[in-house]
Amino acid sequence: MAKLNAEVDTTTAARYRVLGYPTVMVLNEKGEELDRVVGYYRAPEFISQVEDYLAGRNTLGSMIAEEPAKKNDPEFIYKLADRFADHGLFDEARKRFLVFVSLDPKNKSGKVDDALYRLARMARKEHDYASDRRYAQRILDRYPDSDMYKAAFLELGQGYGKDGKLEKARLIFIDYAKRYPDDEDAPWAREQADTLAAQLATKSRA
Amino acid sequence: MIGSAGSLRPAISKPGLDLPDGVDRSCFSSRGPAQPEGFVSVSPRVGGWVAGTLAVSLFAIGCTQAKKPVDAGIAWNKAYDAVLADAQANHRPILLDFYTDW
Repeated sequence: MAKLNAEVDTTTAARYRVLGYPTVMVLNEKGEELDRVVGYYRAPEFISQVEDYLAGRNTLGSMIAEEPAKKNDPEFIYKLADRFADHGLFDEARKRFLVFVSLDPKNKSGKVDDALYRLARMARKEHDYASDRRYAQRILDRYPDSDMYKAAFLELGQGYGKDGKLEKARLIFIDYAKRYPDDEDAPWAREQADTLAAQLATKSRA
Repeated sequence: MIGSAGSLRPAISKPGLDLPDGVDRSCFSSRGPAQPEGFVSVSPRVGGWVAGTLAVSLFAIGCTQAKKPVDAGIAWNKAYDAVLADAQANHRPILLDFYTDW
């Protein structure tokens, strides 16, 4: 077992296409990836995933093999899309998330908002800020009760900011901090608004 | 997910924390259904190895709750090449935990 600082051992992190932290890779003795656990899980879930991977169950490869038989199963498609995203295979992930959204137009699964959020995040990582904002806006418009609502709000601000639309981004962050003054992300939103204001001031002086 | 008390939203990837080339530094939240914590039966074949991974998950939980790594007493290797050589010599799988300090 090794604990690697991905910002120090960038070669190994890049070799395994590590996209977020924590990422725990499960490899065979040759160093080939069996699969990965991305994010935080409770111990029983974590152990179960690792055991599955060691037994060849629920790996990305095994799920791809199952896909033809389960292509109309929204739950499976969502899970597969999620796994592709964790592996940094965004095109494959996007395709499945969009299929998932189309399979569940009424959001019976309660996960369409999550899928849209992941689509937004992937779009931002690929510098497609218009799509990023479109997906985030869709959450705001259609799912006001979603637990992703606030995240989508901030995502929208980031989508504008990254796209150079600084004033629009600043107003969104200010709005967020006003609407949710006690939220854990409110200080960060204020900080973003201040940074953007400073950038705008510098720009206007230039 | 709508109105699900059990789901935790992913932490926001803040612009200041974005890595280049699409790498995400966000501290992910737990996904999937919440499960009670407690003793877990582990198959004998992987029991010892998985016991080690438990420490990793404890670290993960510790990070989630306190945002500080919890060292569960594992002698972590810090070098990938050494771990690979050890795995090949002992025919054991490898667990690599990628983390950052920020």
